[in-house]
Amino acid sequence: MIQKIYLILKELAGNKFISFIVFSVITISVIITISFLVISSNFNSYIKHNFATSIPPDEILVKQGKSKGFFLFSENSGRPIDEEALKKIKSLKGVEKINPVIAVAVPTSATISFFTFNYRSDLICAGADYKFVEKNLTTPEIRQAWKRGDYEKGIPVLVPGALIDSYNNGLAAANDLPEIVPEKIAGLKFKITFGLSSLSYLPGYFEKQAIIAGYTEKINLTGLIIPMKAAQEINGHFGKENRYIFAYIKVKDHKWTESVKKQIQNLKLSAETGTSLSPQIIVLQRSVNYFITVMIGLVITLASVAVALCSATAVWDRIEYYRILRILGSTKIFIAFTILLKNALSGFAAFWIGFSVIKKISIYIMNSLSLSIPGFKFQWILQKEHLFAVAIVSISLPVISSLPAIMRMFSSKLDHS
Amino acid sequence: MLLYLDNICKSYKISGEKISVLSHLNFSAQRGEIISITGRSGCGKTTLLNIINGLCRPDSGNIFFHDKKVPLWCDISMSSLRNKKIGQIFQTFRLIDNETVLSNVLLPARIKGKVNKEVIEQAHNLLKDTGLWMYKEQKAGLLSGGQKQRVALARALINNPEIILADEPTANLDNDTSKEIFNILINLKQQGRCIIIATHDPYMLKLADKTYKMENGKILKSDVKNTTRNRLRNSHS
Repeated sequence: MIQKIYLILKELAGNKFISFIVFSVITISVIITISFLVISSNFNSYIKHNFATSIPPDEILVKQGKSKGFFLFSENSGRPIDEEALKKIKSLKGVEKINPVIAVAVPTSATISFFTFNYRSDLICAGADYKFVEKNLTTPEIRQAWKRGDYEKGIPVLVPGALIDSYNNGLAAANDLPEIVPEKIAGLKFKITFGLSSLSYLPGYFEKQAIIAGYTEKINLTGLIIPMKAAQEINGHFGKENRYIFAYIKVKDHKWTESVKKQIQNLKLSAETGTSLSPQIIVLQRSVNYFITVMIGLVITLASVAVALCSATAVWDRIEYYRILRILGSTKIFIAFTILLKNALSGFAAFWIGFSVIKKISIYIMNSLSLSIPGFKFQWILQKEHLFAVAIVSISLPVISSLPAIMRMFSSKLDHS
Repeated sequence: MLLYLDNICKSYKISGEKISVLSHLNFSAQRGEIISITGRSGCGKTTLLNIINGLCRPDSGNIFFHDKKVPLWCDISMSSLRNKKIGQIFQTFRLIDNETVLSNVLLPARIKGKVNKEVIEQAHNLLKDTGLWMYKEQKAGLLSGGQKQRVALARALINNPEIILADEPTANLDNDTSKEIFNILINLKQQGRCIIIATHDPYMLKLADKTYKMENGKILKSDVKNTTRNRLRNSHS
């Protein structure tokens, strides 16, 4: 086995110049491709946060019906979302699932402690079901706590992206406070007092430890999201009725969206769909994404041609060496394995170095350069699927490119010197 | 029977024309024999050696090694046979020029997956026997033709093969170096190895136990020197 490894290592060390070219081409391609992906993600994020609602095309956001009162403060608000309204929505044709968000109908305040300094602020809370926010919960312990209603270590709390944005762009900017990075917020602890705010209090108010479970873009609320069970228990504790702030209705597919929206409006409830992007913005977004896709395609095509030529040349350059190995008793399978392994490792190393370099550069740009575009902050956004795809292409490109040369080599006869 | 070739046929297509190189050829070899194959250029000597070591496949016919049929279609079996049972010396040496002499000699052992102290010691002994000890760390590409042929011989012997195939081993060598190669081959014969040589060298033809003359893909004449063979048999029994 050691001798086989020795032969593999010899193969890895062979043809250094062409291997270096393959490695460099893949590294540069990875850097360019990931740059385009990060730019594309930042652009889409900018569009989403500044021009669009966060409602997916197959979802409808249902809110309380619009008020018809004539005065500023009126008892005659629109139809509330209660259990009966939810039942009716559930029975509508085309509705697949309802995710209601329940209001904590008591005064609430939060206390955040920094060493000896305590900061107290009024806030609103809402309860969401586990399945609706499952993907936003960061750790298995928090997921279990949310699911089972076990709050011994504190009530898990999700912070909506809208709340973080309004803090960063409002309170933090105005008061020179540090900005919050959504991805780093999980794990912070603070105290919530239910039944007490700066405006009023209810008898029997109590304080609870809370732990931030992560952030969510699903619920567009400037308040905190707690487990549905906790919200119901708090309402029950103070004898308050359970009312829903809004409900997310998932339809069978986007074709049903308009039909279900009309039926909900007929129930005297407000229904919103994700149509707030203007056609011009959609065209701009599509054009930019199309351009980026074309550029990535171009980079991959050029890299494929370069790597294919280099890989074929590399195999061809060592054909006499492989022939001698075969004459001396190496099997075709072993030789093919060493060549493919060499190319796969070279591709993976190039991917890893390219990825590390572009990540460092991006972080340097984020930290060093202040991009002063209103409402835009450059971030390292790269989807796992995209990263995985880049890795697979980087590894498979030299491997697949060397296959024709390997097959051609094996079809050539050994008895020709 | 160490080796037996049964009814071997082989032809090549050259410019669309089928040219028969070996035609219904039968051939056998025993342990402790030196067999020389002679004949004009293009008569099929090299093709015969290439068929024995599996570098080319016959159109028809079978090969038996220790009375067992060799699966000619199976790359793994043929590779194993080439690596463990057959040592090969080529007219063009087929060394890896940018590797050292010692590394070249050890290559078949590495492919076999066995390089221990004994094998390294054996490689050193082979290099001493072939007079290449002082060149063991030198790149093979820097050696002279005669030295390269001796490296090829040492490499052919590293896995202790039962058969040694040599294709014109003295074609590029001067008389003194040729004699050294002959002496090594005679020693191998005395150790019970079977040596099959394609050659025109009259000195080598004299030393052979059997000499086959080939013409038009057939063995025309077999010259058996009974005295030499019997002497060898007696020495082994």
